[in-house]
Amino acid sequence: MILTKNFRQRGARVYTKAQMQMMESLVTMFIFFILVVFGIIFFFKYQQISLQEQETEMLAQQAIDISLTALFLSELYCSNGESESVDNCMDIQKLRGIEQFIDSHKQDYYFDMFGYSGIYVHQIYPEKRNWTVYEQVKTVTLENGEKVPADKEPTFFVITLRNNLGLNSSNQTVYGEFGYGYIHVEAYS
Amino acid sequence: MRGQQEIIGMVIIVIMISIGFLFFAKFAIDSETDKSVFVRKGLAYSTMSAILNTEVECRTKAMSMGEQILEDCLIMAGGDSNTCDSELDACELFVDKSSKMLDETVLQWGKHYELRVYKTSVGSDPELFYQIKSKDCMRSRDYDSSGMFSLNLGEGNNLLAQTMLIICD
Repeated sequence: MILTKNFRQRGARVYTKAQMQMMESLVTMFIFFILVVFGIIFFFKYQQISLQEQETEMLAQQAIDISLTALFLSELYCSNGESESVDNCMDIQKLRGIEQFIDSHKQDYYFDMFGYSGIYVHQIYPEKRNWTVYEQVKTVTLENGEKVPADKEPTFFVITLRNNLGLNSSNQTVYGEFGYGYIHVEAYS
Repeated sequence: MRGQQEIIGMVIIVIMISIGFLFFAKFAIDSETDKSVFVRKGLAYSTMSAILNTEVECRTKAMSMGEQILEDCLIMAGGDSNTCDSELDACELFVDKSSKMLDETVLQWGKHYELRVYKTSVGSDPELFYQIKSKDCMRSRDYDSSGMFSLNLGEGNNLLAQTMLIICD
């Protein structure tokens, strides 16, 4: 009583036990809700990143499927008469004329197979050469009306390139039937 | 009694936070997808196969990287010191060409490689003969190999060359 009286005299506020307990409960609940809010923020951020990753993964899977389809395309692979074809190999002779052929049958046949993608073959050895097998770029329109290519996922596979003709890009004789190169596939989202 | 209840409450909160961290760590560490494993494995296989099949132009003939150059390297331990006018012996030529090929493909795509060549004879353990690498892939967490590619080194000598390409991130 003396203590209360002294506090009152000094103008200090005195809480009852019930008030203290209520404040304790309020603080506990406040901290609990802060933790819950943090948890929800963390969960949504994680979900967002996870969705983006899934989209990238699906795009990459699409690129792998296109690469495999292109590798086993009878228009390109190294056939060997009636015997087994050469593994992971493309024929340069076939590559020379394929772009024009695919381009003329893009809408009626190849688009169903490759969709919006780009398939490019690069030779590294014995000389550097490039071929575009298929190209159908997907564009997106920005807010300012500008058209830009959509997001794409590149995939690479190393291949052997067979040169049956024995001629290089300048029509000079080359010795060595099998060269080294790679196939580069870009799949658009 | 009240003190005990509060301690139990604290323990429950600590356990829940620990479980949360464990989940986070699991997702953060175990982020490697089947796709990246498939790509690495496929890439290692196709690269190894392409290197061995590639033919090097040698004056008016062609020499296969696997069946001729590597064979010369392993049987004659280098052999001709001027293979294909390159001023390199067969082993050096194999190392030179294959490292250039790997640098222009695998390394340029942000991956590292380790190419191992083993010499094996019947009844003995494979002996590591050559190793070309951009990084020590076996120490890396994410790596895949092409598997062993075997080449018979001539008839009657029971010798075998085994090559393996390891690709890592």
